[in-house]
Amino acid sequence: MQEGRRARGTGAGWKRHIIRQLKHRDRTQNARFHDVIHSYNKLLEKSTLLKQLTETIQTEPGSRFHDEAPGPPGVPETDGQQKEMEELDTYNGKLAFEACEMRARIQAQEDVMRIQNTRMADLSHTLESQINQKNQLLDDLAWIVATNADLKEDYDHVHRQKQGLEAEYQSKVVALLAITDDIMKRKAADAENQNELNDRRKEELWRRHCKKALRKCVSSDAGLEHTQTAGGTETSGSAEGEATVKKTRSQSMISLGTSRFMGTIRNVLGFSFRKGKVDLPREEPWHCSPNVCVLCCVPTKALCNKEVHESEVHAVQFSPNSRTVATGGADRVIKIWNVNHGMLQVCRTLEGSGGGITSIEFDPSGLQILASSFDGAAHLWKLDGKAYESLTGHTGKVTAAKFKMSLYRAVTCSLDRTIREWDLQKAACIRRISVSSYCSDVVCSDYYMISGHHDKKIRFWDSRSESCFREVTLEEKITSLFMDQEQGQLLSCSRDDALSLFDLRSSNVRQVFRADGFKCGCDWTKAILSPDGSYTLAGSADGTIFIWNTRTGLLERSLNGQHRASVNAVTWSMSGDYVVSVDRGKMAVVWSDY
Amino acid sequence: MSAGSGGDGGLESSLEASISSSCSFGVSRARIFKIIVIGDSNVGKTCLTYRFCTCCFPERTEATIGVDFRERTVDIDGERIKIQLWDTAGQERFRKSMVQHYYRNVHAVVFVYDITNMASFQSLPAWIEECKQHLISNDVPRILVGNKCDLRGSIQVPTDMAQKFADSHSMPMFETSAKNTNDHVEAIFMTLAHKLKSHKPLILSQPPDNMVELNSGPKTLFPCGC
Repeated sequence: MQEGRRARGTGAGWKRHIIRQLKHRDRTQNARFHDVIHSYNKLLEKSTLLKQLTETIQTEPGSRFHDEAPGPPGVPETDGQQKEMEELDTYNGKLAFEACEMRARIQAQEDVMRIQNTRMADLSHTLESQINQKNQLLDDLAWIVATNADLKEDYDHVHRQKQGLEAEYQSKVVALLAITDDIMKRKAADAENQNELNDRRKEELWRRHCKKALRKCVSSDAGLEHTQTAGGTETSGSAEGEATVKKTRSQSMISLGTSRFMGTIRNVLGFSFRKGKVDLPREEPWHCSPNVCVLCCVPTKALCNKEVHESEVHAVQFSPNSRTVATGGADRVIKIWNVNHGMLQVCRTLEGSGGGITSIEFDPSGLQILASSFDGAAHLWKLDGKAYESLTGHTGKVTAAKFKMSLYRAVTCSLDRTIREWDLQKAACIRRISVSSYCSDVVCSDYYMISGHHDKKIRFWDSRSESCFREVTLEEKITSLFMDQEQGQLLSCSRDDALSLFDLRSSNVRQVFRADGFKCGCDWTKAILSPDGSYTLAGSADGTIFIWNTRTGLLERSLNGQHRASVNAVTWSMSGDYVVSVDRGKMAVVWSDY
Repeated sequence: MSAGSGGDGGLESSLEASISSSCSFGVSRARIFKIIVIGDSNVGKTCLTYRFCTCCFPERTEATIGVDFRERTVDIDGERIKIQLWDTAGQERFRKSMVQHYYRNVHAVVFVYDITNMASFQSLPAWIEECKQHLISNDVPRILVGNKCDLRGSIQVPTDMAQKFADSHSMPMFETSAKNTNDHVEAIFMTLAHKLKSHKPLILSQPPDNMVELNSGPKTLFPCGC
């Protein structure tokens, strides 16, 4: 073989050589080794058979047998088998050792596995318990949710209830407010009623007291005391309360219209009540409303019915001190009567007029009488002296003559369609206003004159200019005008049988008075207002006296049975308790409430 | 125009008819003194008036709405006098439209405060001012009454402070208790009625010999023995 190898390396030619050499060697050597090869093959077969056998005994993977290298081909058979047997023994030993090791490892693994199993068991327990817990918690949760839902429902319910209650509460509050308001109104009405009741009681007591006082016998010495004690015992006149400011306790103006009481006082004390001294010197200007009447008694019965003149009586007027009445008529005289407890007693007769008397007016002092007459003149008599003046100048019958509220002026109106203003000191005409119609009556206020005409108009004249600044037209001829003390109301009587009451401040008609049976008797029928302005009085063509309430406009009373002819004129005393009416049948009737 | 009597002419004429025929229509013959009781809410006006008119103390009272009228007829020097007490409301909302009616034709005004409540004392100037605004005359008698003096432990308004205040407004001052059964309440109103009847001033600057000076009187005559 070695030659063969050495031969290889000499080149290509040498390759064939080498190959012939090898083949030669092979043929030669092969014969020597042919038996060995044969026995080797047999051994190989045995060894493989043994290998198989040991494999079946030991179930070890055949990895251990890797080491069993096939013996080299040159090893003899028994040595080889012994070696194999030794090798197999060692290999067995090794394998046994490995088996023990393996067993130990198995044991260890089993231990580990056991441990792991126990751990697993524990874990599964824990898992179970956790699962249980979780289930429990889920149950709890469900329960809580359910409870929560219930609570929410309850809450909603309660909330709705609360809203309902709140709405109720609101409505109750509103109702409470309404009730409180209602109660307050009622209480206010109660308080007002109580106040009024108190007032009435006080008045009633007053009257009683005055009545008691009337019965007392009064002498001239006692008179002064009487007024003072009477004045001092009670607070200021209840009846006056509303009209004037409430007086304090120290003042004691008694102002009731109890006639006898007043009459007694007047008689005793001898002065015009509430006016002060009577003897006004002529130079002293008189103030506008000297007398305030505070209580008018609507008359109910006639006290006296008397024939006062020889002919128709056209005019009648109370003096400001309410003690005397002046009447005048077609017989051209004025008679002055004293009113004593309702009886008329003639005091004086004033002559000098050339024609029938159409109107009479007293001046505020009661000492002068201005009368207009058919003879075209107005006459002025002075009651203290005997001086007498006449204001001539009109060309027709003078229908009215009134004092103007300033020094010594008078205004007359006449059927000659003029209104004249006179200066009484000089007895001369200062101003002459032409009108387009017969003038039937005129009244004077501080600032203007008001005249009523046959052309159904009432004209207002400014005192300074000659202009008529207002005209009011009524339905029929105006027969008379009357203005109240405060110069706020004007009453006109017209031939359509209606009395119209004008409010001078707002210059519109406040009331129209009519009544069944009331007829204006003639072109100069007079209608008047009561001194306190609360009643309207007029005489009718059939002799009935009609009295209306100015505030309500309704007929208050009608007095008849006394006059047998048409009533021409009426007058109401300033003290409020007497009314005198005169008619065409020469009669005068005194009416009163007492 | 006499509005009061002229307004109901029918009543007036019937009254006159009654005079002339001297018969009574049942109208009371006694004089009436209208006395109003003014003060804060809850000072005891209702209890005071109730005590005077019925001699009892009302255990349970409610806020007076508007006004309550309580009357008592007493005999003073042989004359029958009817004392008409107007127990007014203290709360503003219960009196707002009524004030005019309170002060109309009033004969005397009683201001009440609570001596255990300083605020009720401090609002007295406001009440007095209202009174001044509504009363036309200055000589309507006014008195000051401190109520609830039985609650001695809670007094907030000392007597001297109240007395000084009353002096500054020329009013007599009384401390009393509507709850206690002493007769102070009765005495206060009776004194007031006496003074009204006799028109004597309540506080005199120079007391004549035989007249009681009410200014210092209350202290000695009516010690608050509660």
